[in-house]
Amino acid sequence: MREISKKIVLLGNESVGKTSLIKQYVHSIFSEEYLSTIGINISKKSVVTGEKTYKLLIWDVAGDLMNEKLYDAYLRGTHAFLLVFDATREETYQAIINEKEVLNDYFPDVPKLIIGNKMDLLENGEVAFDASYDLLTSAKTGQHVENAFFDLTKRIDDGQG
Amino acid sequence: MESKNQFEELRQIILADDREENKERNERLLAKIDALEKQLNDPDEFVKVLHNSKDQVVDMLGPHVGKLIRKFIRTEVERISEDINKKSKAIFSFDFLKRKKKESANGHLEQVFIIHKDSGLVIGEYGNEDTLEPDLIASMLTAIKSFVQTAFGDGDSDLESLEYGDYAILLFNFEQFYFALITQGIITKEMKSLYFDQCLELADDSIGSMSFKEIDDELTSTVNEHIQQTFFPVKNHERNQ
Repeated sequence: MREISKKIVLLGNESVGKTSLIKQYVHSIFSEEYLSTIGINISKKSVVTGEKTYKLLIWDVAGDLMNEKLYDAYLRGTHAFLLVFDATREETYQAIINEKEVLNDYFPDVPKLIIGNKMDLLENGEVAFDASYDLLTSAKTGQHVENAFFDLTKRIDDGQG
Repeated sequence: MESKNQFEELRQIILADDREENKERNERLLAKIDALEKQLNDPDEFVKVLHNSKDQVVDMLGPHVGKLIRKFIRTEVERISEDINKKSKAIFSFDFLKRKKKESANGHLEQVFIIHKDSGLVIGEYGNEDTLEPDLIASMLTAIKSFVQTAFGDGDSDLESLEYGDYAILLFNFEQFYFALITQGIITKEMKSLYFDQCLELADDSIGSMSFKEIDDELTSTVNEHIQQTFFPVKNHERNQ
């Protein structure tokens, strides 16, 4: 089976659960914590779609990374973005929407998947504010986490921007 | 003729005491030199003796060579004793032994990575031993390079090497990709230059013309072979045997 390598960047505010998503559902990880000085951690996950295996190298960028130049440098060469917000905090959703607009300017053809994490904390399983997203996930229970990575990979495979 | 004999007799009478004194001095000097020679096998002891005896050495030699040279000898004896002192300390110091041990370990290439510059994905990789996670290493190396370039670079400069203990990672940058050579031991300038030439050769002859729009196992397998042939030909030969 053909194996293709891709770079994925995971973005989102602090405490939205990016690292939790990574920790439990990837195959290997460089370190369990952000490397505090450079504000990034990298992990690997394989996803099979049809006749292909995608080897995803996931760059988990620290939510509080302030250096704009460094932020830009980490995004270079990205094949897909996973934009994560906390489904219980509207401000994290707004931040990710703003981020997506900027990314659309610089990476118009690169797939972007918006996921609302912490769905286990939602009453009736619904987001309490107006939000447009692709998936709700729970890093705590594992619900829809595999789906999120699969959907993103499918978009890469289909060449969707 | 007679006057010459008389003069010789007179000279013998006048200088008799001096000759006796000089003879004694010479004997003392020879004894000192013998003692110093014996101390030569023990640098620490020799340095001590030389330090402690420099005045006597100068005093013994002084009457024979005159005041001007005396000063020169004192300076020289001090210089030599300091020099020997430094050398003996260096010979027996821990740092020196450590350095010698390090120098004796020949520098060599452990592993070669070719990494896509923007994405940090592995284009190819080959080494003496299998690395557990070459993909993670390549990505993290790329992140570190980006960090260093952003934090300290002026836009034109780039990270050229990373060192840790006995290991070093040499980085050679090209347009679309960069080489990361993991080395162990002391790498001389000549070796570094040879490695760079090999990278250039590989980049010009085979890798440079490839497309990296999609990096898959077929591409990496081809590049791995090129790396092996260029950097590890001996190992290749051993494998064929």
